[in-house]
Amino acid sequence: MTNETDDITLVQGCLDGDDQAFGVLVLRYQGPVFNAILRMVRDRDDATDLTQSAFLKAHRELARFDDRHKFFSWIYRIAINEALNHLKRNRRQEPLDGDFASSDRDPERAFAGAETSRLVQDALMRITPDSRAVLILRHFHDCSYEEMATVLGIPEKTVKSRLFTARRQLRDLLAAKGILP
Amino acid sequence: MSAHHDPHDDLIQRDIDGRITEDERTRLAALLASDPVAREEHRRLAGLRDLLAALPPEEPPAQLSIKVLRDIRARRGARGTWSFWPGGRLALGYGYAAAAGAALAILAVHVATGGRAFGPEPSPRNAAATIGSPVAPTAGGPWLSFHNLDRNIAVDVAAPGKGALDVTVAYDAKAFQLLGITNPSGGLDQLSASDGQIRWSQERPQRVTLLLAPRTETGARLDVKYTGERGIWGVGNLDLPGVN
Repeated sequence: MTNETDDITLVQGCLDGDDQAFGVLVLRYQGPVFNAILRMVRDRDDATDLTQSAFLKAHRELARFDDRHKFFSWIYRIAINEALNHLKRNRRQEPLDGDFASSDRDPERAFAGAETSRLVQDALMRITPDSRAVLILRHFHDCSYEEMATVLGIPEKTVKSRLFTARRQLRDLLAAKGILP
Repeated sequence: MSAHHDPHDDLIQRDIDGRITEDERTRLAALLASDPVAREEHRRLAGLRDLLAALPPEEPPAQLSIKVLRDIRARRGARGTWSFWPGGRLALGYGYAAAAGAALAILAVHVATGGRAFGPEPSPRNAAATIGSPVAPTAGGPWLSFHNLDRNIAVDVAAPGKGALDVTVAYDAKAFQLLGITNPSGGLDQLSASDGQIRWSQERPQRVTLLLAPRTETGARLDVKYTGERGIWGVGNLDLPGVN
């Protein structure tokens, strides 16, 4: 029994008028897209709105999707652009205010995990959005250099360069917080 | 942003990203053995990678997909009734639960005649349906089937018969969580759902899809019963799989 209908089939189904097919894509990608945006903007409510907006835009522009690429690259690109535009509009860089709750059921571990998440997110918000995007795609979504280049619309060489710089910035920020040696 | 790093940095970065070749791995090993600065750089970046990898993803809000799909349908002006029960409560008037796809296999339902009571006895088959009636209902094909939908299970119920029917679906709530129920033609009345049981009435033939999330590895049985006018009735069951 087949476990998954592939993304391209679902996209084609949606273009053929099958609304339910897009529902499956939303169910499949809402978690990763929400997390990518949340790491970009930090605020859960904003991330929820932007995720919603990203999917609506994807649905509206689905006919423009090039099926030579992967659907996730396309939806990530829309999502990251939504987040970058939001950040440009708001220009907010204030410290994290505790939005990152942990799902860990052990209270001590949950606290430690939530605190680490909070500090990492705090540090992420202190680097530029463009650099933040490469770190998020690489480390939280396991994107390859090529995939990141597609998502961000930049050459692979630029991806590597940004990643190199962003990692050092984040590492130094976390070292200053005592999170890393 | 320009790059100001040397080939050693590239090598280290490729290793951190798991993109290193065997030849590069050999070179890296030699570098790390001979250069304490490179060794320290590698150690710290590996620490950063491991720290980030350990952070769990956040759960998206429960209503997120519902909001997205509601807006899409509102924009398209689509008709149809879609219902979701996040957390077991009827929350919205529509939602999405299932998708049709050529690659999705559908388990055919064995249809038999005769009267076997709708009850809890286990079926040796994956799926079974029984239809009995003084006036035989139309039963031209399988009316109860399921297919996997990512990690969830979509159960299609299309009770045969031209007239009004009352339909009851029973499942083990410990084995499955009901994520949603759809019927694109929008002809369900008195729809209700509580843990382990879904009921509705329909005035005309409907195809209803239930989206269930397995909670256990073993799976469990799902039973469906429908009754209609002039003594029409039918039962069916599916042995649904557990978590993949």
